Amino acid sequence: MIPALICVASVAAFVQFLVSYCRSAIAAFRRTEVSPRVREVAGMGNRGLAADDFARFLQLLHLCPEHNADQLKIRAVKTYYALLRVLEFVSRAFVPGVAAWAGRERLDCSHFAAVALDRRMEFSRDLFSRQAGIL
Amino acid sequence: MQGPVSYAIWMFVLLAECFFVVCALYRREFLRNLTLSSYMLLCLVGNVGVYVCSRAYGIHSAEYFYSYYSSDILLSVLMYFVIAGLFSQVFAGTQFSRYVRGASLILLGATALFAFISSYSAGQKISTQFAVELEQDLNFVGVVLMYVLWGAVTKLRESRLRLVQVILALGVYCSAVAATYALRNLFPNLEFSMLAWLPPITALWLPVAWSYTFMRVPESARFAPGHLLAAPQ
Repeated sequence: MIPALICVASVAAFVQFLVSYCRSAIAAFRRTEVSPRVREVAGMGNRGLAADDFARFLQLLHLCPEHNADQLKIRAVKTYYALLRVLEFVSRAFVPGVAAWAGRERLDCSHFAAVALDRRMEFSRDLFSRQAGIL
Repeated sequence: MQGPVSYAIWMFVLLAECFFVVCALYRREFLRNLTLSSYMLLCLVGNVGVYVCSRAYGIHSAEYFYSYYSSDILLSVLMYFVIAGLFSQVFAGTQFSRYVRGASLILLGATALFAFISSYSAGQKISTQFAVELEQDLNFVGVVLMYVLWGAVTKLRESRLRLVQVILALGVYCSAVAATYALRNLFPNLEFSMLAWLPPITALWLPVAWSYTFMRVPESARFAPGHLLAAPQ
């Protein structure tokens, strides 16, 4: 009985700590605005950021040269986003509040990906300038 | 620990712990984060000791059994030092800071006494089941403490991103280890199947997450703590 209780409580704590960890990683990017350059590249026009834009930003991220500083974070957020999609799909019919929360979290993931894309583009531009300088 | 995959994970754990310690020394952050760095150094020493034991006596020997579980139990007790250090960082500057040290010493004494009484009552017949139960209990106390600490972080609206990420990474680790040992306790027959892989994988998480935090999150980084408090409505 006691091991079962410990197991359930530990799994619940694990999920909460893991979600908070992912949110803290995303929170660091929240203060940064999405630049007009990223909006243009992603073809967003004047519309606001959407939760489903994450996949588009991820595709564009893969086109940029890899920047080791953000690779681990992008993978973690990608996993978090996938979990949120499942949670949103499962809870939509039964617990709309949770589905709405998952949607808001996915929007934050999209914002994170947009800022990461902006940083990679900046990195690529620097790299190109330096190479042009050497040549 | 059996098979090449388990050994590979074990090696990754050793490398990750070594990386953390070397980085802390190289970046001159070892003394500034003494409890975290010392804990990781002791994890590294413990893992090397267990590895040497496994090579010298074999993984089915009593020596390996005792070295594996005794180092694990000792590290679980030492983890409380890390948690106490994090408590004092979170409560620094508040009226509770003076109580943290006393409470930590009482907790550490009680835990060490509990571990000693449990081991003493088991006498010569220390079995895998006993070690698993003790580890489960020690780690679960760690989960409870981490939960209290997390409550304090949210209540005090802690905005130091590095500290918050270190706490959350340790919370993930403690709860994963406690859940794994509880599962092993519930289903002893699964001990040498999938559940044997979980402890080394969870052991890999902590040095990787901490290394990442210390390498990539500057000490001055701040964030809006309200974002972490938002919950499903």
